[in-house]
Amino acid sequence: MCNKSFNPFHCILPPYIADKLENAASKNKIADKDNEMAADRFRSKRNAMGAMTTKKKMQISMLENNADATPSLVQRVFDAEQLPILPGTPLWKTGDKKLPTDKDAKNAITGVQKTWNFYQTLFNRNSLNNMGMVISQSIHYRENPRKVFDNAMWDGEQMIYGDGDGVFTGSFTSDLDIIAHELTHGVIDFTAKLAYENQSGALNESFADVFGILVKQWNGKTQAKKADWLIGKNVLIGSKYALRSMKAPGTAYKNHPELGTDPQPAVMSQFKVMDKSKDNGGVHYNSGIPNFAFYVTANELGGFAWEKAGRIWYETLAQNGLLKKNATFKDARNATIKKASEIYGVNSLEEKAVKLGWDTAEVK
Amino acid sequence: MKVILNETGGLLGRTKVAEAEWTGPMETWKEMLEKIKVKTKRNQKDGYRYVLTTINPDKKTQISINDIPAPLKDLFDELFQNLKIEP
Repeated sequence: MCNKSFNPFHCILPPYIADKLENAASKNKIADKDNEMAADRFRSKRNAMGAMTTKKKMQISMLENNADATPSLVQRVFDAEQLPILPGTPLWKTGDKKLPTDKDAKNAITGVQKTWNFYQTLFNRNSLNNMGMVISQSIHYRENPRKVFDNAMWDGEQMIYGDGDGVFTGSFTSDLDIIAHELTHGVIDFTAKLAYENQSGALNESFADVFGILVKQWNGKTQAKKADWLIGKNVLIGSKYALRSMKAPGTAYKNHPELGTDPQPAVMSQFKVMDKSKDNGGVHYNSGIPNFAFYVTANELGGFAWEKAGRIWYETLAQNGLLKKNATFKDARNATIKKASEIYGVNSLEEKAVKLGWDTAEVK
Repeated sequence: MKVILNETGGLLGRTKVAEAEWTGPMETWKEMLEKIKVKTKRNQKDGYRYVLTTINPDKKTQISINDIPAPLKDLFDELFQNLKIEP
């Protein structure tokens, strides 16, 4: 509901949380009394909101969401308890004094805090929808109780993390860049809404990687030239493996016992034409190309990557209509060059660096 | 009947495949397949997508693995266990 036609009083009391808690309770999967009470509270509050006038709803949403005050993060964490039921048992919410003892819950909480701070501090963005959306996360999720979930995802409403298989993959909360990557999918849903297939899908993935890595670099105060530019270093077990390399796509893992060798291309001449039935047309493969363009741009500019390259990429993403839903790599090239010239001037070093990035990735 | 499970997408984007044999009645198969068939597509990013392909009769069906019915549990246990990265 929130991601389609945003309405602040829908998002302040996320109906899906009430619905899912209600469903979970009715199926008797979660016997937790607190959970039922929480579902009741959500339901009654939502029903009460439904009966109110628009003006009244707006007044309440502003009060609850602090829309008229300094933006502040509101998040909730749930334990899916290795079941395919979302969101799961409430574990923690903003305002609770004591942090959970669960390591994944802690990772998820701090990961969201760091990502939210990044977007707020650098780009004055108030949560994923820029209107104070409550961020919900479920940890210890499984799509099927008999199959490990070696993945993390954004389902259009919330973040979901699996524990990994313990052999090749560890917990998917263990990398800040992955948490920030998934949250950025939420940001994209509320900005350019890049279609999740083929080149626009690969751009969607690339923007998620770009801001995933920038959140990590910003928190570590790491300069572009000193950064490793690796996504998911911890989640793949083994010190020589990561999920992706933005600096050198195709080198994140080699001869891995489960995965083989990283298939990502870095340049357009290696673009993989894939059927939509395979990874939505190769969105996680061809994202290597725009990732490499961003890396080259940031490396050329030096300093902190979020200051100039990150700003250009963010404003390209966030400016209404600059990137169309079905944007191609070439559209992204044109849009980022246009944005760089708007911010820093025509023929500026920044504009030249963006051109160099896309030229090096052979996107012309 | 040969059954092929295809898992694609995820944060890594790799495609995994597994094969198994369905030896039960075709009527049960059709009934169960209808139960696990994806009816509405969700706005997932980095989610896995599962497609079940049968050979003779040839058919591809996008499925959800959230709630596998009892008659298919053994078959899916075997498929899950054998999922390997597509060469």
